[in-house]
Amino acid sequence: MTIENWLYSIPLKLRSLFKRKRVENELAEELRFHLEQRTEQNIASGMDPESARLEALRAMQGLEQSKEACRDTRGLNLIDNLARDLRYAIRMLRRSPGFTAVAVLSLALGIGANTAIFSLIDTLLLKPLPVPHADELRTLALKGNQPDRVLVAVTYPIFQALHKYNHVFSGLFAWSNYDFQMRSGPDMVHVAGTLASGEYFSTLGVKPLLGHTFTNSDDQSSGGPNGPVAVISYRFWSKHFHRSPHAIGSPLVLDRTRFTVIGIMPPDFFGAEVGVHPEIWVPLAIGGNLFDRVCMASRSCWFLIVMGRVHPGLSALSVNAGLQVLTPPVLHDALPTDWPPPLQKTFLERHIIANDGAHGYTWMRFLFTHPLTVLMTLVALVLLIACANLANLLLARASARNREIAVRLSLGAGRPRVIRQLLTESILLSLLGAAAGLAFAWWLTRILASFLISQPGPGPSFELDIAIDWRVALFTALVAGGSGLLFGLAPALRATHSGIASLLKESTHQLRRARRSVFARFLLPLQAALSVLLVAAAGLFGGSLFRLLHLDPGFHPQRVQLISLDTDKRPEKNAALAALYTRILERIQTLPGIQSASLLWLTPLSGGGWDQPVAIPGRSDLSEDQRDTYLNLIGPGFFETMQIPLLAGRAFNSADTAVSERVGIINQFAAERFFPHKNPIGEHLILDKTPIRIVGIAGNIKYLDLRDPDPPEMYFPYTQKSDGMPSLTFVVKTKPGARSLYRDLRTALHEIAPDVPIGTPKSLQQQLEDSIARERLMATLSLFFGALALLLTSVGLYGALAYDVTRRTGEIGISMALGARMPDVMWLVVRESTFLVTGGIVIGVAAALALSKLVASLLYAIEPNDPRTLLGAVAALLAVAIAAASIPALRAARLDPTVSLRSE
Amino acid sequence: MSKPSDLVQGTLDLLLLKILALEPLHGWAISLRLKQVSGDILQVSDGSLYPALHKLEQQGWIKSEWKATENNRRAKFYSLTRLGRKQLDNEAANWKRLAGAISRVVALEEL
Repeated sequence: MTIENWLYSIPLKLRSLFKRKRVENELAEELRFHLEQRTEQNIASGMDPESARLEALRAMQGLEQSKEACRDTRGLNLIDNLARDLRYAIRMLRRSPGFTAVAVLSLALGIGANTAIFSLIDTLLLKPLPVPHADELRTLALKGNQPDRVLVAVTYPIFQALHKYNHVFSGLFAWSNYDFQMRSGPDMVHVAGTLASGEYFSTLGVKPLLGHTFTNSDDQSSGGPNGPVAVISYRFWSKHFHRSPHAIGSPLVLDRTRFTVIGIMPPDFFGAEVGVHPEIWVPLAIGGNLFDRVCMASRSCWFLIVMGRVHPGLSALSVNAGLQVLTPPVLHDALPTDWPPPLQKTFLERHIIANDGAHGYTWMRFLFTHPLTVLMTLVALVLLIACANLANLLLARASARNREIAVRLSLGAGRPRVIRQLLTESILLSLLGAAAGLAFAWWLTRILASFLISQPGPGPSFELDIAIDWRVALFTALVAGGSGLLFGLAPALRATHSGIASLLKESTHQLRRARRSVFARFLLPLQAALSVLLVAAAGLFGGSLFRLLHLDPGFHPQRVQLISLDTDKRPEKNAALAALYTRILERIQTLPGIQSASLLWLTPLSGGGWDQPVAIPGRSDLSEDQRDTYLNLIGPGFFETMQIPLLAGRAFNSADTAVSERVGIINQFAAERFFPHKNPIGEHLILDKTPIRIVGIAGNIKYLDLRDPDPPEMYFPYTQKSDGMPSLTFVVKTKPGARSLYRDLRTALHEIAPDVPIGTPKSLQQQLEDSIARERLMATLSLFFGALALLLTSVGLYGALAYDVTRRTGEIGISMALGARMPDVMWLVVRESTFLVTGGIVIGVAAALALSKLVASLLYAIEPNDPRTLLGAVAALLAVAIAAASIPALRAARLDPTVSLRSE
Repeated sequence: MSKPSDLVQGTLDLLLLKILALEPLHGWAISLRLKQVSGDILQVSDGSLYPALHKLEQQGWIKSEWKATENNRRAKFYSLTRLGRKQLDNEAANWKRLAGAISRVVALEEL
């Protein structure tokens, strides 16, 4: 067809689209004229008028069929029919609001749950970094000989050596998250920042919004030509500089050091770490040396993530080959020479590997990829149940619509045409479901994200910006369309497969053995099996959480608040700093509403820990691992505040000072392991060559992780920490019913140490719950999905049986007339379903036994094939099935035989 | 449904174009003319005629116009477009080539 053809055809198409009535009238008139002429001709040739007319119609091969064939030539039928089908579908759905509501609601929950989980997976795993050619980025890691020993973080000496010997990457950079201290009004506050090496911005390939970014020449420990420089985020620029262009060149005091702002990044730039939104970037060499000189110089301080950009088109093979050449000199240069020889050997056996970096880096991936995969599977199963449910309901409706369909077929609609109409209805349903599902997903992702970001980890606080991007939208559309086809196709095929005659003959109240189709008989066991799987999963995850929640952490978190200070930048060090803490503690203890208060270094279950092997005189039989002890600094009143029992000896007091004898308190487990046959009080342990006298024994507490068995623990008084006094956290137990003390505490702190940044207060209870965020996530969602599965299955079963009873009214009436009693009638109704559900349960249990191993690593203190959980799942399903079946069964049993027979 | 079973596929278009090249006609007249010119050999059923006409119109080979017939009845008259005339020339040439080739094959003497 040439352009000239279109000149004719486009106006015609537009005309038939928008002046449908006129075009249709013309078509009718044209054919009528022909029929009249033919009829006249037939009469002229001697026929009587009636047979002449019939003969003319016959010659036309059906008037409507001819019209339809003419319409087909317009090439607009697709649009046309779609619009008509849609209108019809909307009318049908509005006519049965109950069915529509159930369908849309169950689809909304099914599709919404899928969208929500997928959008999390998208955010964590699929979304590429918003930088040019993100696919060329690689994250570097050190792989050991054991399969699971992959170190993602490296030391500064390793990065320096990588940079020196690099011939593989066109750009290579390292970064670490760092919270700067900055003055904001009267307070010192923390600002999220990143220490980034010189090629950070150029390798990522991002341009600043204003000014320029820093380079290798700025990344010098003594500062570059412009001294210490900083690049700030759009958000920081808006908040602190009101988007003034004069921000460039302005001074910025961070951690008491003066930086110059040289660039402002665009709003969507967050760096290379997903979930972290730095406000300030400063060169690594300057920042690192200013803020943590010890770590920068150390060959065993693993705090940097390294990424590189490979040349476009470079194969993975050549990258790996290059890294193999790179590995030996790098490891040799950065070897921690103070390590014991066997550890040095393991260090030198590592390989540098390049992992995918297109999606940035986040430690959350290590923690949540498996749980999210499991959840994605669970929600897919939920959706499958919802689809099976709808297929069941649609099958029932389709048989009720037999006559309507027969009439349409006999009026000249082709089978494909009727199937298309029926599919339009189901896809419309699933699109409505998807629309409602998006709203549900929006709500669900927020809950999910709050679980994810509450999980304590090595990173700073997280912001997961989960947006409905095109991947999520496409996924939802595909899922919705797919579900529509899945639950709509089989009923549509079945509804149209018998011939017109049999459809028309078949009465809705026909007296015959009501047998469901093979397909319908396949749906019920499928739903039952999937429900067993989901309920079993809920049982396993719920059971894990239940056990974790009922675990005794060894302390009582009720009414205990944690308030952290950051004193790392204080001019006072060691003893002077300890004295400052003592002054603040004494001040806090005088506040009203406080039951007791103390302070400590590492709060339990925060994710942070300090462990080291101790030496026990006379116990050379214990291995290094067995002597590994978890250490902590605490203040007076600690055991009282945390309600940890002091089993023997004494607590620390003001007599334990920097100059008095070094003392320690061990936990019960350490006492039993290290001193099995004698009283540890008065004995000595040796830590870093310093003997420490044991003065007390305390109860065991969960230190690092609720899931871990109690480790050996040892406490020291903070007043005896001789060097490198860290920032401490106050732990405050309030009196019952006391109001929040944060304001008073803040005022008190301001009086004593105005320049100390205070962390957001957190209750110990919250910290406890956050530490099992993953289990709470899995348990909450799987319980929800399990309940949803049961609900959907029971609705499906109820719908199928209720429909059966209506259809078999006559049969039931006859059996009653023949003397069947109530139980017989009820059995008649539920017999088939009982077998189907039982079969499904057997399959479900088998599947659960086969699949549950896959989630074993996510469970706590429960076997993946825990028999009680499986029995519980079966019992739950049975109970729900019996409840759902009893309503229609009772209704059948209460039928009046005379009425039901008359209904024929 | 729009394919005449009794005509070589594609030839109906050629016939219609040719008939309309002589003068604008309405559907009924076209069906009469077809019968008339080809004797009873080429039969086009009433059911196939209109879809074929509508297809030609959609493709831009012919156009239509409502006019009065000799008996003063309103009818839809089809006529050739400029493009239709070119198309007719092409198809007629093709047909001649094809028909010639087939005649030659059929005329081959069996040994």
